[in-house]
Amino acid sequence: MSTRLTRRAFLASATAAGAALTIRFPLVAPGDAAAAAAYDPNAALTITPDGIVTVHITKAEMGQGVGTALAQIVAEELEVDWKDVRVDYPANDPKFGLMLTGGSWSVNWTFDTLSRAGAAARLALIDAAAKTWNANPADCVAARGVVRHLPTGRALRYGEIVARVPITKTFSEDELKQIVLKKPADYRVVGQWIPRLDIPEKTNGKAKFGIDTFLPNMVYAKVAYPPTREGAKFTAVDDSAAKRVKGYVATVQLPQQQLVAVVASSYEAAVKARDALKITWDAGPNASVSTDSIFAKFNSAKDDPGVTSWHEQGDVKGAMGGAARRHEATYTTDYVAHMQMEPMNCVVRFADGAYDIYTGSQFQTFAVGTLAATLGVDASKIRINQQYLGGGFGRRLEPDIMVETALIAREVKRPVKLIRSREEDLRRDFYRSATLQQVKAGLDRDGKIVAWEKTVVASHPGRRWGPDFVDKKGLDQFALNGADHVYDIPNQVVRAIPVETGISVGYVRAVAPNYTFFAVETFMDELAKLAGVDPLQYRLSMLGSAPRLANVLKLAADKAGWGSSLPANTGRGIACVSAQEKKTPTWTASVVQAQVDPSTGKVKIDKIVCAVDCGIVVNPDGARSQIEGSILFGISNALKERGTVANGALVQSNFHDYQVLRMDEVPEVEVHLVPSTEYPTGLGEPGTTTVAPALSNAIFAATGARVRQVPLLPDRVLAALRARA
Amino acid sequence: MASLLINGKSYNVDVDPGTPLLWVIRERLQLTGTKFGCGVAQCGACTVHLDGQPIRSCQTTVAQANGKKITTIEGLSPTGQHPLQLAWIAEQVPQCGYCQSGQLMAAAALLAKNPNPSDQDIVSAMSGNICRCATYPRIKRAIKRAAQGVRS
Repeated sequence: MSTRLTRRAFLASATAAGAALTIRFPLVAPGDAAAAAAYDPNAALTITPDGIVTVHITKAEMGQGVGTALAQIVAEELEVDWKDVRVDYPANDPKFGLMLTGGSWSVNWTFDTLSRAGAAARLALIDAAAKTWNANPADCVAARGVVRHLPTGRALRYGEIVARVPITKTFSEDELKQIVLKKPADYRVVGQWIPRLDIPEKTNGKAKFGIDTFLPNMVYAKVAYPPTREGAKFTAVDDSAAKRVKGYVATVQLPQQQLVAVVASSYEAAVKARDALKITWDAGPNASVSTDSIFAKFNSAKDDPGVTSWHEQGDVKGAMGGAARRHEATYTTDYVAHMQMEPMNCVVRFADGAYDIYTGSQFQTFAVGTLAATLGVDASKIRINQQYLGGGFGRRLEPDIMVETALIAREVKRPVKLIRSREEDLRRDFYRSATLQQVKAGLDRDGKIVAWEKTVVASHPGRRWGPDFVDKKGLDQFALNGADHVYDIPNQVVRAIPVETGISVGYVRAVAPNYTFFAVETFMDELAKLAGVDPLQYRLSMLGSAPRLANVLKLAADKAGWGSSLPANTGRGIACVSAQEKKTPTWTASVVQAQVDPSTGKVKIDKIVCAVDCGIVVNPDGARSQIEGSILFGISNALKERGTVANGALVQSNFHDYQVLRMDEVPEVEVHLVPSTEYPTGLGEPGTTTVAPALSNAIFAATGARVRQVPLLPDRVLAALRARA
Repeated sequence: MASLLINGKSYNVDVDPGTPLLWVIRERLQLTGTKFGCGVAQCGACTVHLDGQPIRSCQTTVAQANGKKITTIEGLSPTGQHPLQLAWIAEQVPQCGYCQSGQLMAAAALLAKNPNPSDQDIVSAMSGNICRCATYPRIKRAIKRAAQGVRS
């Protein structure tokens, strides 16, 4: 299905590509009319006469507790009682600027803007109150939702000001920048252990996800998906049997979009009718694509001499040639699926030329652009009514389900609900790319690294999204992040080789740093061994320019009892990362303690200790929850998840053959947050990226066997054990 | 026509007797707290109680449920104050929240027959329920907290 980019989406992508990560909050003059109803000082919040402050959360709530955290940031500067704070998740609107949730960016991108939005509203309320008292605003203070005039003791609640007093003060961009914000020492709301606002309704069945949408006169659609992930075409459709299914409404055939669907009065009827379709498929050019053919392609691509470098410093060739010792290793990772618990689904009502869409989206700006282009309407005709996301993990960055449902709704002229089965969800996923990485290093006589060369062969998701999601060399930086680690190595190069395979790739939680840091941190362990230095000390010797990373590395090691003795076949492994991006890193280090059964190759993780420095922590329990979850997601990836390909499609179909972590495999997880007043970075992903390398290093420490393939499956561990012997 | 008794209320639904109970509960009766996750009894998101036993409603037909007492998350407690629900809030368990109805129904069935479960009892009873956000450590803590409350 086409996901052509529009001008609008380009604007989003320019930001997504990391050029300027500003979220605008245009400030509108409310005028007198607004005073009677509600006060919307900016796009971030609304204050109503009852004194309730509603913070408009334009980030997707998919389990991060983002609504609560962002509302805390606003409430801190607004000086409002937390009990008067509410959140909502508004539909897309240009006034919200870029609507994108991912990359562990939410707090990092909005902390400053939301602080200023709250502060500006507070100053405007003070100004309004002062005017009614003919007082100097400098003599007034705001606290707990009340403005007081200190000399006289007069007071007005925020709600009273909104109801009765004209609020006229507005701020230019420059004035906003000049507002003096609180110092971390004075925070009362940020940094507090505040219960998440979305949790109560997630314990009683009342929380509404996209799949819980019902519209009057709604019908159910099921799509007939092609046999391969990419490139198949239908050549004939016979729906005579489908038409006989009770509840059948219509067949939709759109050759241009390569979409075949059946619409019926119920979900079961739609399934039955869809299954009754007789479709002739041309399986297309990818019909014989397999795991083996993909890795063979990767393997031959890695030596391409014409490849340009993504990151380069110093003279790698000279330093490598002059090195006393050289080492190289090749690492591979397999396809990983999102497997968010809520299968992809969407409800669309098409009426009067406009599309009302009900779903949970991580990237409304991109979806609006894609939908407008595909449907041939103006972006103003696309309204995405945001719901809770039953897991995102990057899956809901993609607009594919919205496009399919909107096309069907346009044909049948009734509201349409489309729910993918788990099998369809897995088969139509945009997987984390399989990868092949080769790392070479040169060491001097003392074991110090003097040259470093890394080649990353992977499919780049940004290429499918469009030219605006890749750099001038055609590289998607989100397929490479992390390969540019922060170790002090004078001469380094990262060669990037994007390869198309016929298997669609996308962004899966923690994205490229999952595989780039697996190679970097496992190779670092190999070099430490070669140099005869303890892996912790070896890393520390190269972290002079990253003191906060050195600090969490030492903290994790201390808390994990690094260096103390362990039983046979048990080992500790360490890894540290500057994820998600080098420019905005959350400094994270983990120590995994694991046992290996040498007869079966089975690995059991006893414990993982993770130390994190993310700057200011907005909600400490939310932060811990994110780190715990990200670590366990990493364990699931590292130990279990292997997507394989046959006949141009994923082989696995459901949770029985694509297994994810369950409660019986959960080790002890210990999280240490470093107190800090630095500007905050994100927490949803960095922990994930430490697990595979720390675990591989633990297996080595336990057995002397080096496993260079993720997931670290028993047969791979056994093979490494045999290779050692 | 099937007759279903859900959360103490009777419903007559015109569906094929082979229809999975899940789709009737969710899409016909719009009791949407019960979730669709896999359709093959692998994930537990659709867990409800049938005569007090935790079952996967995606693999239970309407015919099998006919005449039996069905309890969904909406009926676990009329006020949302079941000890497990309170413990889930106290321990701040949910992340995305999608699987949590199923987790709570599985945990409620466990506590009903074993008010003082060991760690191993909890793991055995709960390992059929997947949480992709991996809130497992908090689920375990919340079940223990609720169990202590139930006993005291």
